[in-house]
Amino acid sequence: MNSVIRVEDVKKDYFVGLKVTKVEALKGVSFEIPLGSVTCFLGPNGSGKSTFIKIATDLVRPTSGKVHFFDTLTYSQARARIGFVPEKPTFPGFLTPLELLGFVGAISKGFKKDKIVETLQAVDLYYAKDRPCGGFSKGMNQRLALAQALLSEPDLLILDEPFNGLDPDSRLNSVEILKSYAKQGKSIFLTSHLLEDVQKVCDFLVVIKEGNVLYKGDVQSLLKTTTFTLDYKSSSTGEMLSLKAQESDLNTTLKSLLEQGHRIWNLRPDNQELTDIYKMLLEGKHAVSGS
Amino acid sequence: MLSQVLSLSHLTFMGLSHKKIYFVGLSIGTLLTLLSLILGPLGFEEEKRLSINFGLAGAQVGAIFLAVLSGATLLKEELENQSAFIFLSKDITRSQYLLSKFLGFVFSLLITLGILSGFFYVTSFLTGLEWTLKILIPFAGIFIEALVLFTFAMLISLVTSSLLTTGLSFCFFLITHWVQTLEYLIKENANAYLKTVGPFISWVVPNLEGLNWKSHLTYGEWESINFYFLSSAYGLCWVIVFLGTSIVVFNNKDLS
Repeated sequence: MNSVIRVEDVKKDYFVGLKVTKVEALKGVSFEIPLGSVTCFLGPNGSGKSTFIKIATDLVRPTSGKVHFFDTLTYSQARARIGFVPEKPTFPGFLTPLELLGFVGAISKGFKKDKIVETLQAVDLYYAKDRPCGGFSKGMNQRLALAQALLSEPDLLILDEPFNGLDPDSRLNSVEILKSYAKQGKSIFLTSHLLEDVQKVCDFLVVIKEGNVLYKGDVQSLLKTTTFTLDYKSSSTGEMLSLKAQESDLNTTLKSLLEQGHRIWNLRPDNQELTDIYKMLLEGKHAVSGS
Repeated sequence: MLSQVLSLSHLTFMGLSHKKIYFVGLSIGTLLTLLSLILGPLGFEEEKRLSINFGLAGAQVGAIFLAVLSGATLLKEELENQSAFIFLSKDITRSQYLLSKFLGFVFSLLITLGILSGFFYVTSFLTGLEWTLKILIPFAGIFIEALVLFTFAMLISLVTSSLLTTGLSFCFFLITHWVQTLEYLIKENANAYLKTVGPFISWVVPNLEGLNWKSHLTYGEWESINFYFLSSAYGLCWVIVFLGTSIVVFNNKDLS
């Protein structure tokens, strides 16, 4: 088994109004996520992230294309091995976490009752186990959503914006939970806007814009493809100047500067954050086209 | 599979019993049933009959109110607030999920009608009605009628808003009680085309007047067991039609 998710040319068209306007939410998305990876699906608002998550979890039917799990399985065949957290998780307000997880467990295959307490402790919600979840904060709701997804110990977690609306403490807590889950060799596929958190937890990245994949590959190789800052002394004015160059253009830029008689003073790699690279990818200024 | 459906039905039942509409429906039914004690004496010689008729009508209004509003909001709300996504991502199919909503409502309705029939019996006993198991027959008609309306409202809620569904369902309720009259009028009409179409109307629109057995208890004019059996089967067939269509629509719907 090699891939945890394999996406083959998935397209989704929506029709607005009386089928007059066609909106192409996904324009033939293809990628493969390796087993055991923590993957982030990045993209600006309206890029098709949520549509893809809903297609992957069988909530929305694709216009064409297929999504396979664990190499060959459809979502229906693999659902017992997948845990899902929707974008805005809501629960019946009259239920306590213990009751809710009891119901979730009752409709999950291979569920063991003693897992409920263990899972609530893992997401730091055991203290509120007997409180009706109608009065929960957004952070507590998000942790409860994570608990229900983790309950059946799935091999793959799919999370739609798991850090959205969380305070820094809860975000940190969620990142730690996901990290420890990933350490067990399980796979995670998540969408998020919070690149700082993404950089902490993800090792694989898929960037999407206007329904097209811009990048698919591991985060480290993306961060390695840095830009450089060149400091040089101008041959005409004698003042110190600097410019930025992509790794791929570095030789050409250096040659050109030397030919013009400038004196190279310093050459240093920039410490890039995922935020910078993501911005460049969206603007089409990044040299990496993806694997 | 059955245990999963029953677990979710239990949850649906709990959810319904925590909703305001449940208590509003139950309160309307109870209030109207109790009101029959006050309205009964206004009937002079017909005090007993008026009390019975009004009490049964109260139970019917409560059940219909609950059926329409539950059908219009139950699935719609869960899809809109995404709580359905949590359960649909587990080992349960969309058909099973919908079936569990239906069964959850059936339990709620049985309890509601149980309570209302209790109130009805107490008020009727005070106006001189003797206890007989036949009292339950009109309630069986109300039960099946409410099921037809619930499944109709649930089907419509899959394609439009809750508000529109509620309006359409109440219109549907009125039309279904008018079908019998329409069939009669067509039968009496000379138009040959209408005479051909007439007999088939109740095949297209349910004739819920056929489940209105309130007058049987009021006037003590009972039909044969065969009649109640066939009328119930007719109503339940419509429940299956609406529930089946809901399942087909729900299975093919984008839940976004």
